Amino acid sequence: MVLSVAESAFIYDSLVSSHPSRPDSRKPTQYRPLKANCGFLPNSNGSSRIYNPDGTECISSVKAKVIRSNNISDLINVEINIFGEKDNTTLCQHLTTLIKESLNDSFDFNALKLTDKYYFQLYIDISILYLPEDFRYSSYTFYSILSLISMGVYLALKSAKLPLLVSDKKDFEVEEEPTFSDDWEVSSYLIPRDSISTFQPALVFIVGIAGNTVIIDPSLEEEHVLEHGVCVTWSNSKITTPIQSLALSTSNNKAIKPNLVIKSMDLVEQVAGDVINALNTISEQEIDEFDVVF
Amino acid sequence: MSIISITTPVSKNSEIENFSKDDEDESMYDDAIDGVLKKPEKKYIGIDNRSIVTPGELITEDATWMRGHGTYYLDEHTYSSVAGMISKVNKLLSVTPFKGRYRPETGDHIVGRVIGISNKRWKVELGAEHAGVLMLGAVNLPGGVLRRKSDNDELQMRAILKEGDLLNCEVQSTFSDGSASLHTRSLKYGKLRNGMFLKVNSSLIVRTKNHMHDLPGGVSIILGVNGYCWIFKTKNNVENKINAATGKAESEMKAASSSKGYSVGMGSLSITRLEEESSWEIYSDKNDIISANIKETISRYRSCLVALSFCEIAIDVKRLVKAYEISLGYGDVNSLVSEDIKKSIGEDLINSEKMRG
Amino acid sequence: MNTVDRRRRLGPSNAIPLSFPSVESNSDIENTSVSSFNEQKLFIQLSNIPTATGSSFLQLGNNLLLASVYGPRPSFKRTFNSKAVLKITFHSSPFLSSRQTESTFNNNNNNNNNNHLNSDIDPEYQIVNSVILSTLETACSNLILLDQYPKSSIDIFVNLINTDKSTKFIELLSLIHTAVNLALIDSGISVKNFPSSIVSSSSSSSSSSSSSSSQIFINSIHSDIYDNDDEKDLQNEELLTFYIPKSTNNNTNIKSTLKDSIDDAIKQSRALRSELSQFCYNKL
Repeated sequence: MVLSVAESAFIYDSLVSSHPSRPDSRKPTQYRPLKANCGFLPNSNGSSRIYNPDGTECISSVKAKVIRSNNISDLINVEINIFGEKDNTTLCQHLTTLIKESLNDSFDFNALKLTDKYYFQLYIDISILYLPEDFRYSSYTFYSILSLISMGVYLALKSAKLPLLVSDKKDFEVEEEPTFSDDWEVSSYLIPRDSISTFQPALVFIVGIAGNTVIIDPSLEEEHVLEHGVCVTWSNSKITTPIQSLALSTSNNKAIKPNLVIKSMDLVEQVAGDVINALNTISEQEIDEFDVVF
Repeated sequence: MSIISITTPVSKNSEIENFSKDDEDESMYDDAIDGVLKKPEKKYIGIDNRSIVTPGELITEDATWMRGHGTYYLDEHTYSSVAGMISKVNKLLSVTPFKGRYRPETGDHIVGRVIGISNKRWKVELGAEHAGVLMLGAVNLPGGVLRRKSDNDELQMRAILKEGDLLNCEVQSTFSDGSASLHTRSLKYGKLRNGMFLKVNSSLIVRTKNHMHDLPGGVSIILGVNGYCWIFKTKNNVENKINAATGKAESEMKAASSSKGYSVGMGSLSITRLEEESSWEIYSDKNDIISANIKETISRYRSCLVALSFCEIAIDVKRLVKAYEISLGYGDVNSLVSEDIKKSIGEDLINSEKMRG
Repeated sequence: MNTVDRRRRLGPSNAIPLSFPSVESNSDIENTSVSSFNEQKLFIQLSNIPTATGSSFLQLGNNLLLASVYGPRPSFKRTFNSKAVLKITFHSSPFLSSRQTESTFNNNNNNNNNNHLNSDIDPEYQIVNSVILSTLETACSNLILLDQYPKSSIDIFVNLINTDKSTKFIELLSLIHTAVNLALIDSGISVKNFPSSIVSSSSSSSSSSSSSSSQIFINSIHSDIYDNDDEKDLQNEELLTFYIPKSTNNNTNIKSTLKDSIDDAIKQSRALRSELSQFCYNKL
């Protein structure tokens, strides 16, 4: 979809005015209402489904596998599959890189440690179920999906459960493969829920910039007219890396002023707490039946 | 006002009761066997007693009916091919589907978006099966209605309308494949400016005589029959008269309010006015200066439209204005984003209509 | 280098014999010393590929880079484009034995193999194609006045010929951007302003070890507003793209040091820019 000149000018003028107003009448810090739930895929350790009112939907699954390795950098594998988009496009690859980098940065790898020799290896598969049909001819880059993906991954990780290890933890000397309890009732969460050993997987925020206005969670219409985008990672109550600039639109992009980078970080700091709380509430809801999801 | 709301999705059919599964399974199984064993009994479903049909349902055994859209003909019986309402016009029998994409009909007032330019025509996206066609000869050319189109116009078609532009037009004729030919040969049609676009399901739009309305708050709306809507700042008074001439009810109101003593007869001046109006101005891309107030009203109307479409309430101008009035009670425009408020606007609206009867 | 020229837009296929001038024999090479990182000498050669509209060759230490710009040339797409379409390809040569480029998509069949290969590379040194491409796309679309070239396409090719183990990825990234910037300047395609890219290590004053510092990469231009006051003028810089990778010290708050590090980076970027523009002025 290409917006008409008058249309994009209207949206742009509303955004950059002294009292910014967004096309769907949100506040600059306000998200679109999201729907999410998690733990519904029976075959994976953790899963989540999250979607926007415009139909963009993201399903993520976390699977754990036991490997014998001590190399921390390959314990987390991420694969993003966008419906109708090839795996080797820059969009796909870059989303994967950013999610992987952000997780590697923030993950507490002790949670994955099984024994002295064995680790859990995580496979995070993400599937975007809907790409706007006219994406190829439109003037936005769809990088805004990153924020949805990141929330999906957060929920999936939060809901992931690992089976209980029954063999000995110290197997440095022994030649023995780890064995697990058959009882799924005694499984524990991948990310512990108690306050001492818990940690937050990274969340990636997409901030859109037009003029001097910074907005969170840009919709596709807004993405058309945004001059610049910044992706900011948030984990464990502070801003972390990677932080990067992203072109959200192909029609209206401009260079970014340094002070706006700072401003977009302020915005993230402002909303991050609420987002984390909302996500945690969802992840702590128990699902009784798998059917109720759809 | 919270920044983010994440809720778990609720299934729409959750209220449907679970009946005992075992019995159901068995009887379904029996039915299946019966179906294999003997030819299903052809039940006559009279047009008189049922007007809602599902695909494959027998509508009539009478071969004298003419078969229209949404039906098919097999062994001298007419069956429905869609889920919808049966409609009869003389001897023509057709089924209008409840849902589905927009199907253009001659005379529909619609909003479309230009998606391509080819030989002497624009391709216009209407949300229908096929893109509509707008011929170069079917637009008001800059410089007056009496001008003939020239080669020069053909060369600079992109200066008139280009890809992405929204326009307001009427279906001139439809072709057998479902595509439509459009025209904008009236001053109420043409390129759209000064506003915001919104797409709703086309089946929600109530077909009325007039689809361009002035709403309270200095805002106008075009409710395209194809579900494409355009909310914009009401044009200033001079142009307003032309709009007014198009709608009788509005013109009476305007006539009463206009200080210049406007009368309906003055609407016939439009030939001379055409020449003034249809300069290049009408194809300009520049928005007028729009105050923050108007912008807020526009986005409030937009939120109301979204709420109506969210609650799947058929949209006409009366309901929209009512929804707008209700929404004012919910305070800030920002709050209308939340789903609960959308739902309660819908409920309030239905309640108020029930009260009025 | 080029796609098959079926329409003979570039003339007969044998019009220009494919001969790359050897670096030493060419007389109009200029060597400039630029106070870039590590105080190494930067070797720049422009217009070294005759078939390209603009090209640049960069050498810094063992890092060899070649960037070339083709176009604007007509694009024969069916849809109308009101502005030029930008295509960027990054290619690292197969001779890079010392380092592997990361394959972001571990195809499942040789997954274990891949993991094994990657395991001995520090993430700071790993070449991530997607970051290179996305930053280049962002930077170039912000830099080039694409509106001036409707219905056409511009192709940019970056070839990493050699690198060594001691160059961090982010330093390489800035070199790549510099190469592309120079190739764009050389090509004569309209750009907004003279760009320069730099990596700045802001060793936060509090941290004792100077090696553990957060780094920021920026590619920036000067905006159209100028200010006489140097400090105020820093705000007039516009970032085409920036990238902050994982920092070695996780305990410092990035945001608190960010403002200083951006200012720092802009200063360095301007220093580099003045030298580069001086070089280009002499050269072109």
